This record gives sequence, structure tokens and C-alpha cells, in this order.
Amino acid sequence: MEMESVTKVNLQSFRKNLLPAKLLLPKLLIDANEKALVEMDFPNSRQEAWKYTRLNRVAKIKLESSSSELIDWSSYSMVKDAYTLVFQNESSIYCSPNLPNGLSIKIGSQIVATDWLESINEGHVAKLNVAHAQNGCVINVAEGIQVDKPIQLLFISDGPKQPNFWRNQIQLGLGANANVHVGYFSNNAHEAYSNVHWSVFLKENSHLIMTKIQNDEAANFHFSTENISQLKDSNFTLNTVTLNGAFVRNDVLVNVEGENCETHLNGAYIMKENQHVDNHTTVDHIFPNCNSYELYKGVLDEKSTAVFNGKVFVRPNAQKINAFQSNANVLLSNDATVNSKPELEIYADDVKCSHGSTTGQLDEEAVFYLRSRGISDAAARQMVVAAFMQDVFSKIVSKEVKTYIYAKLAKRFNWQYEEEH
Amino acid sequence: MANYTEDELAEELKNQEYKFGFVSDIDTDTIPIGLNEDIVRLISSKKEEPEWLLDYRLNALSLWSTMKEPSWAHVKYKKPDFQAIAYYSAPKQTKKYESWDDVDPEMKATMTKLGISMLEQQRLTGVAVDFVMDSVSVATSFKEKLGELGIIFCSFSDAVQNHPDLVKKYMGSVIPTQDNYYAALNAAVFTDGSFCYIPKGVRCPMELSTYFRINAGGTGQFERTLVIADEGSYVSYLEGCTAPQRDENQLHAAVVELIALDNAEIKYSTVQNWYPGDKNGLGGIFNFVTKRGICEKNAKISWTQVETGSAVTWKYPSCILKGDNSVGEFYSVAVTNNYQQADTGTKMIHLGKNTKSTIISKGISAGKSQNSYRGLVQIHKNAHNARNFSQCDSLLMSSECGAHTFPYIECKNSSAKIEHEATTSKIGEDQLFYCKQRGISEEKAIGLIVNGYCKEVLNQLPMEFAVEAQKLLTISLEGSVG
Repeated sequence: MEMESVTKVNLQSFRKNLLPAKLLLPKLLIDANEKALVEMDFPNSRQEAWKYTRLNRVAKIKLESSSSELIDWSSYSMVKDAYTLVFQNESSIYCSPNLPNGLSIKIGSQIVATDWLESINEGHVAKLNVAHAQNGCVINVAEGIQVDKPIQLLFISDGPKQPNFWRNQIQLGLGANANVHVGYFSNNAHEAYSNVHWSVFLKENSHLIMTKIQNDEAANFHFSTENISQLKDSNFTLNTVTLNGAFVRNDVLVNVEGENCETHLNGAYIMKENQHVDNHTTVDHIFPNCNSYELYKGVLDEKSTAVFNGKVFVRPNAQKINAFQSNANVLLSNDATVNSKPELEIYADDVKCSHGSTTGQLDEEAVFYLRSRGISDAAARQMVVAAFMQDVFSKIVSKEVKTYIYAKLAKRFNWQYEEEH
Repeated sequence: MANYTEDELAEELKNQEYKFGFVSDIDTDTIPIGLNEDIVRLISSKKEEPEWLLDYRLNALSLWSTMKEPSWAHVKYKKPDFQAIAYYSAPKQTKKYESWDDVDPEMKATMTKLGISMLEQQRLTGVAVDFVMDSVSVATSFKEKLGELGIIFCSFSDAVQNHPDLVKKYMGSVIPTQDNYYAALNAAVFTDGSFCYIPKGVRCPMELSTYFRINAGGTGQFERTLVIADEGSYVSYLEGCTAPQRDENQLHAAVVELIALDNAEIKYSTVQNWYPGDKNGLGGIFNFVTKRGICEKNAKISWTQVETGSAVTWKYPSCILKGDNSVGEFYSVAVTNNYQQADTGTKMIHLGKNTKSTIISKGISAGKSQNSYRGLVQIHKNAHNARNFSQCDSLLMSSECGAHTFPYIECKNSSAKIEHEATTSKIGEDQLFYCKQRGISEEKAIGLIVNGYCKEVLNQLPMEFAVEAQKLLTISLEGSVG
């Protein structure tokens, strides 16, 4: 195959202009990672995890860091009242002063090796991140603390061909509770590449809602990895909303390492032009008596493509698991493509697991109903799209974030009607 | 047994012995083990084949030698040693059978043991049977009656001799030699199989049936089936398989090609009961089969399978929906027990407009077995208004077994409607309670629930086969089903 010959030598030449990691990760980890990474290449489509996502477009980018002017981040802010931390490329340009008791945010050089509770991931995306992470944060919420305001993290990729490697960690103590909004944006980021890695640790009885808004410019390549570890009685929600970006890949791995946990993964993607979005999720049930719910919905227009690969693992003896997974897609154009692969791998018998996947088009009867009431064809279609996505958006608790999403969509897709929330 | 529990059922399943595990004492003509050009030439000359078929085989062998054994399936097994297999084994017989009376009495006895007594079947059910033991087809019944309608139903070797044009035209047209590792191997060393041609506008008046049996030890079975339904015709085709109990793993790598021309319909049913190995996972058949059909305009292909045997199953009966308005169906019940492993499913390739496909897959896993559904639904760009519905359910009968679902759904057309759903669970306490509360004993309730669970698929089988399939299922539930 042509692609294989293209990618054969490229991971190392792709790395050529990248700087070594500035974050103080444990040395053992970096050395082991480097050893594995020099042997690696970009995976090709014969590898199951990359079957539908080809990396030749990525492999061809020539990355180079450029210095850029400080930008006014306030226009990127999604919520007004929050503890905010802003990264512009490898610099952290803002951090809210006066953090409340029990909440600590360490940035860049403040982080010491012992702050990281990491293990190395397989795969070239996570390994590249370890090798080249320039900045990031470690957020710690102490035992029993309920953070009063949302924590907002903004990552802005600035300038063409800019490589960005951010590495972050969230640690929630016993019974802690937090709500984190993460936003990814870009400014003039033609053929830029961003690679962000999250490790999230939920101690017993803690509760975390993480909402990720991916709103990069249409020429940015974005890779995002989230590794979540949940202990007994914890509750984790991840909302992944992909609004824009040339190429977006999300890898979510939830290890449920205790009983009575609850896991919610929600995803929404609305793409057009030549865009590509790929959501890979794995929920690994290691302990009994847990519930997991997964809902991913997407709308694809023009020549865009979407990939969904959701996997639910139930390990031997992890009895009484309820795991539900659903993926629904609407194609608006004949040039759009959806590849959906919901998987179940079950090794215990007293479980209830199900998944469903649908692909279809807008309901013409619904469109007709709206049109018969004097609504234009375009507006009617937009309303049906919005109604389809509403399912996922309604899972986002923050009203402000929801309003933000609708405003962005209305602008990008020229929505002609006003949404009330 | 008033207190029949699932544990007891599982226990029974574990101890269930294979009832077709006898060996028939028939003289066989087996060639030396190994695989090379000479062996392929030898097979070809033994079958008195024309030059073009030998070339076809040799080409396949050279392609095969460059290919790698697939490893993506969710199964673990020791790779067969392809040089330790005898690729040709035939019941020793100097002359061809002229009539049923000429058939070796020992072989007749074998068939009777299998419950396919030809005499009985001929008289009572009107099913035409082609019986393939080890490598060659030994008997075909009802030939004359079918001949009157212009239907050709014979062994593959007969077809090569008597209908070379048809064989040449269609063989490998659905499954090309290089399609996959086992298809290429089959193309090089296939020995016999069934051939069937239904002429234009003919509705085949009876079910056609092939019975496959591996008898000799140390051999593999590589048969090839080709079914061609010409425009506007209809045929229902049945296939059954058994093998003796042996400690070794025998390889069965078959190729089945179906061709449904405009407005034709093929219904292909399989009851697969190859020896599954003993309860410790020793022995059993490796069943690596490639089955695929192509539908032209308004044609329909329906696959129904009841899979209870084989140590390892790797099988994906597929439909290429090439013609507009064509229909593909796949109904499957796969039961695995002890250490059996099954990775089975289907592929529905939608190319034409208004094509429809339905997938109903029911997996039952017990013991320490692993049962996977793997399916592909692919809607191509020009398949306007394509429609697919898939349902894949798994029933878990023991805490050590596994049930997995790996569906691939690829859509490139915005007017397509695709639905897929899958569930995995054990027999619900509430369902059991509901039955018991109405005075149904637990064992009967389990039988009832399992039967109900499979009903959608069993209903698709032709009458004669449905009875056999139900019997096979209830063997697994013996003592619990009234």
C-alpha cells in the first residue's frame, strides 16, 4: 500500500524539530518511553486502532515552533465565573489568583517528578506526549473538598505549524467534588499539531464532571488522550464536544478499579468540509456492581468523516455490571462517511450489557411538520439537527457551557433560529 | 428435577458427549501427507481433471505460499501444521456408483447412524442428498427427477467433467483465490463438494442437501460448493456436517459460493455439528470456512446457520448485494460449550440501490467457551436507500465463559438507514420467576427461554432441518426440555 511507504520512516523525521520534554516527569518513565519510541513508526490502517483513521496527512506536516505575541484569552473564555488557567502554546499565560482552600494547581516547572502518578501508555500518541510535553498542570482537590466554582482550562494553539504537547493531571481526594471545563482553540493555526494527555485519578467516593470543548480551527490536527482511574463509589462524567478541527482523535480509557462506580461518557460531534473526527473509548470493568453509560451522537456534512469505536470490557468475576453504549449518526451529504464499531467483550455472566448503533438521515416528516408551520427549509433542517444533538447536550449540566456550544454552532452552521435554553 | 438450576444445566452441558463420534471402518485411499506442487498434481490427476483446473490449483498454491495466516479473530489455537495433513482421502471404490444399491453397506450404515438414511429421506421427505465423506462425494440421490427440470445437482468433480463451462465461469467469481489464506488453500487442494445449477425460472421442488463427514484420521477436508440460481429461479439448500471423535485437531477449510442472478432466490441452511473436542478441550475440528454469495438485481440470498460443533470456528457467510433491490439475510444460532471457540458473523456489502439486509445472531456460551460475533455492514456510495437491521444477542450460561460482539458499520451514503443492537445477559431471574410463578418447572422454563431466544432463527430453517436443529439444541439441554 502506498500509505505504508509514506509512513515508514516518518515518525522519527516528524519528531526532528520537536523539543525534548520540559516537564519534570520521572526519569525512569522518560527513558523507557524513549527506548520504545525510537523503534516506532506511525501506525498504518492495518492496526485495528487506526483502521479508519489514516495518518498520512499528519505525517506530512513539517512542524516548527515560532514565537508569538501574547493574545487576549478572554475572548476564548467559556464561563464567566471560574478558576481559570490559560495556556498559549508552551506558556501558561494566566492563572486565577486566590484559589480556595483544598484546590491546588501546579503549572509547568512547579511540578516535581513525584507529583506525577503516571504509567506509560501504549501507542505513538501517548508516547510522543511523554517525550515532548512542554507544559501542563497538576490539579489536586483535597479530601472532602467541594470546589465551589468550575475550573476552566483553556489551551490555545497559536501560529502555523506550531507543535503543542500538553500533559495534565487531575487528582481527586476522598469524597472530593469538582467540575472541570476544558477548551481547545487555535489562532491562525494552519497545519498545527496539538497532543494533549490527561491522567485522572478519582479516589473513593469522589465526583468529577469533565467537559471538553474541542473548537480548534479547521486546519488544526488534534490528539487527545484521557486515562481515568476510578476507585470505589466514585462517579465520573466525561463530555466530549467536537465542534471544529481538521483532524480530531480522542482516546478515552476508563479503568473502573472499585465497586459501585458510575461512569458516564457523552460525546457530540458536528463536522463539515474535509474534517475527520475519531472517538475511541474503552470502559474496563474490573470490579463488580458498577454501571457505565455511553452516548455518542454526531452529524456529518459535506466530505467529513467520523469514526466511533467504543469498547466495554467486563473482566472475569466482575459480576452485576450494567453497561450501556449507544452511537447514533446522521449523514447530511453523500460524501460524508461514518464508521461505527461498538464492541462488547464480556467474561462474566451476571451482567446486563447492550450497545446500539444507528446511521441515518434527517426525518423528512419532522422537516415537513416544521415547514407546514411556515419555517424555512434550511431553518427546519437546522432545528431537526439541533433536536437530534439535544440528547447529548442535555447531559451537560452547566447552562453557560450549553449556551456557548449553541452559539458556536449557530455561527459555524449559519443557524437561522434562536435557541432557548 | 424440581430444583433444576442453571448450574446443573451447565454441568450437564459440560458432560454432554458427542453422539456422532463413531469412526466408520471403510477402506480409504489416502495420499501421503504434505503440501507441495506434486501433491496438488496428484490430487488433480486422481480426479482426472482438465488442464485449466490444474493451472487454477497451482496458481492458488503459489498465492497461498505468499500469504499469512489471519490472526485477527478472537480465538486462540495451535496453528495447524500444513505439512502434516493428508490432503486427499477417499473411500476406496473402484467404480462410480450407478445407483443407490451399489453403495458400500458400511457407508450406508454410517449414513443411517447420522440419521440421514437415504432410503428414508428419499421416500419420506423428498430431500435430494449429496453425501460427501472425507474428500469425495459418495452418493447423490434424486438425480433423475431433478434432471427432468434441468436442475443439475451433482458432486463438484462430476460438474468439472460434465459442465465445465458453468464451473469455469462461476468458480472463484465470488471468492477469488487470493481472498484469504484458507480460501487460497482450499483452491489449491479442494477435493470435492457439491455443485448445483437451477435453470431460468425453475423453482426447485425439493430441498437439496449435502452431508459432509470427515472420517479418516490425520486428514483435512477441503470441499467446495457452488450454487448457481439462474434468473427467476429458487432453491433451498441444506448442509450438515459431522466428524468422528479424535484427539487431534482436524482442519476443515471449505469454500461456498452462491450466485443468485436477477430475480433468483437462494436459501442456504447449515447445521454444523463437527466434533467439538472433549470436555477438556482436546481434539475437535478447526472449522475455517469462507462462504459468500452475490445477488444480482432483485435477487435474494438467505443464510441460516445453527453452529454447535467445532473446536474453533472462523466463519462469516456473507452477501454482496450488487444488484438493485437485492436482499441479504443472515440468521445464526451459535452454541459453544467447554473449550469451544467461535468467531462468526457475516458481511453485508451494499452496492446496489434499495438493497436490504437483516442480521439476526444469537450466541449461547456455556462452560469455558468463547463466543464472538463479528460482522460488517458496508454501505457504498451508490447504495441509495440501503437498509440494514442487525441484532446480536448473547446468552451466558456459566460464569467462566465469554461472549463478545465486534460489529463494523461503515456508511458512505446519506440515504442509508442502519440499525445495530446487541445485548449480553444471562437468563433473567425475572423471566424464570415469571414462568415458575405460572407453574412451569425451572428446567422447562430454561428450555422454554432458550428455545424462545433462538426461535427467530430456527423459524428460518426448512422443516426437515428445523427438527434436527431443535434436536441438536435440546441435546445440549437434555433432561431440561420436555
